[in-house]
Amino acid sequence: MIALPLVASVLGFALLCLGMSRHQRDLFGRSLPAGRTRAAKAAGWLLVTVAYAGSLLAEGAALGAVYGVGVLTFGAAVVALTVTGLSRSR
Amino acid sequence: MNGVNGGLRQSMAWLHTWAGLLVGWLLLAIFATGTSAYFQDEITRWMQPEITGVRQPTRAAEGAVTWLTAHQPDADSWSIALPGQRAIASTVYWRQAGEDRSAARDNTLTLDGNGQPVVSRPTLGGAFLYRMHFDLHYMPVIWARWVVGFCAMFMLVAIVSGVITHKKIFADFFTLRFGKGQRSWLDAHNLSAVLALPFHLMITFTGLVTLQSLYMPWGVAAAYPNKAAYFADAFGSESPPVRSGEPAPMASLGGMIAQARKVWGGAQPGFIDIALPGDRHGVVRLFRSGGDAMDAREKTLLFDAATGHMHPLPAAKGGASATESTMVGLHAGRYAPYALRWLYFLCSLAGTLMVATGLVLWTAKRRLQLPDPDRPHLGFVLVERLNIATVAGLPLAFACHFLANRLLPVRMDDRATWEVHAFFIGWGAALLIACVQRPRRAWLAVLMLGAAAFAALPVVDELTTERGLLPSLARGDGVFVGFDLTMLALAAALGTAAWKLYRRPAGARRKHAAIAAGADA
Repeated sequence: MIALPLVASVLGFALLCLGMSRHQRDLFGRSLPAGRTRAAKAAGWLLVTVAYAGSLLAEGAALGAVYGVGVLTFGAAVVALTVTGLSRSR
Repeated sequence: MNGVNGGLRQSMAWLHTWAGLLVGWLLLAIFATGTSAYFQDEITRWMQPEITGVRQPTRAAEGAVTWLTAHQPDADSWSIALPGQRAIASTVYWRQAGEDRSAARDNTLTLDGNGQPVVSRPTLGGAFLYRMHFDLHYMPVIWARWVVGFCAMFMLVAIVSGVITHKKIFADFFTLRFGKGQRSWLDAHNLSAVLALPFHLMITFTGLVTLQSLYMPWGVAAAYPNKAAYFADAFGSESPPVRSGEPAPMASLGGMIAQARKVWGGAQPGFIDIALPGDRHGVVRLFRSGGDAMDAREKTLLFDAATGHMHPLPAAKGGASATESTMVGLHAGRYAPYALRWLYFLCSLAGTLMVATGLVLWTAKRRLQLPDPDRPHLGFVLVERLNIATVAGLPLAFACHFLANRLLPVRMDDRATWEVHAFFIGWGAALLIACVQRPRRAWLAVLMLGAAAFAALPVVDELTTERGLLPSLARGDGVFVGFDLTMLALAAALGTAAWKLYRRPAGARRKHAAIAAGADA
C-alpha cells in the first residue's frame, strides 16, 4: 500500500517547510520560537525517512527504491505548491 | 576560498546557460514526447476506438496462429506482436519466401483481445510519440539517435553544472514566488529541477545507456570479430532453420507460452516469431515482454514448432549486461504499475517544465539588459521566437496529432502518415506565427490555439465516436475518461497561461526594466 508513504512524505515535507523561518514569516507573519522550529525539523526528517522506508517495506527493495524517490518528489511538490498558494492568499 | 568558489560557480553558470540553450528546443520535444510515452498503450487505445474488450495475450496468440494457418499457410515466417501491459490489440505480420523485412509493412493485420481480426482506422497510435522521443522524424534513425544522444549528453552537463550553480538549493527548496518577472521564472525552473532531481539524473543517464552500444562501439569492436558475433553472444541467435519440405502441423502455441512463463517467473511473451511455419523444421521464438520485470532487455526462448520442445536455455547474462538491462527498464518504466506510472509521469512533466522555464528564463534575464527593448539584437530575437514556437507550439502539435486521428477520413490513403504530418503542420504553424507576429501577440495566439485545440478534443471525440467522455464515464472506461480529462487539463493549463499574459499590461516588462535599471544606477 503506497498511500501511507505518500501521506508521510507530504506531512514530513510540510513540517520541514514549517521549520524554515522564511516560510514561517510567509504563513504566520512571524518566526516561530527556536524550540518549535527544531521540533518541526526533527519530526519532518523522521517522517521523510519513514516515507522512504515505508516504500521499501510496502513494495520490496527493487520496486520500493523507485517508488520511494517518486514518493519524496510528490510530497515535496505538493508542499511547495500548497505553500505558494497559501502565501499568495494571505 | 570564496573567490575560488565564486569563480567555479560563475563558470558553471556559463556552462549551464549555454549547454542548456543550445539543445533546449529539441530537448523540450524529447522530454514532452517521452513524458507522453509513459502512457503509450493508453494513447494507442484512444487512437483505435474501434477496438474494445480485454487483454488476453495467450488467447490472442492462438487466435493469430489460427488465422495465419488459414490465410497465410505458405509464408516463410509469421510474427505476432502481443499487446503491451495495458494494451488490447495484437498485430500479426507475415513474410513470403524472397520478400525482405520491409514487406512486413504491408503484410499486416490487427487482432482484438480474442485474436479475431478487427478493422480499425490506420494509425501508429502512441508508437509515433514514443519513436519520436529517440528517432525524431523525417530523418534516418541513426542520425536522429546521434542527435538525441548529443542532446542528452548536454542535458547531463546542464544538470550537474546547474546543481553547482544553484546557490540556495535547501533555502529555496519550497520557494515559488509569482508575479516577480525574472525571479518567478528562476523559482519555477529551480523548483521543477530540484524536486525531481533524482528522476532527472536517472532519466538522462539511463537514456544514454539505452543507446550506449551506438555511442560507444569500441567495447564490442575490441571483444568480437564482427557485429554478428556480438549479437549471437548477446541475444543468443541460432542460425536460421532450413526448410525440410516435410509438412508438420504446429504444436500448441499456448503450451509453449506456458513453458516459457514458467522459465520467466510468470512473465508473458511480448513478441513471437515463427520461422518456417507448417514445416517439420519450423522454429518458434518467444521474446519476453518488457512489461513484466524491471530488467527490460529481451530474453528469448526457442521451441521446435512441430513438437513444442524447448531448446536448451541460453547462458545466463553477466552482471554488466543485467545492470544495463535494468537501467533500460528503469528508463522506459514498462514494468511500472499505475501508481508508480503516474509518479513517473509527474516527474517527467516536471522535467518538461524545467526545460521550458529554463528557455523562457534566458530571455527574461536578458530582456532587462537590452539597450533598446523595442529593437533587440538578432540572437535575442532568435531565442524568443524559437521559444514561442516550441514552448507554446509543441502542445499545439500534440493536439493537432490527436485531432487528425479523429477528423481524417477513416478510409483515407496514407492516413497514419497524415496523422504524423498533422503534428508537424501544427508545430510549423506555431513557428510561422512566432515569426510574423510581435512576440506578445504570438505567445497569446499560439497558447490560445493550443488551449482551443485541446478543449476541442473531447468534443470531437464525443461527436465522432461512441466512446466520448460521457458514455465512457457511464461505462467506467478509465482509459477514455482519463485521456479526455487529461486533454481538458492541458487546455485549462494553456488557457490559464494565455489569460495571465493577456491580463498583464503590455508595458509591464518595460516598467520592470526601468525599475531594474534604476536600481542598478
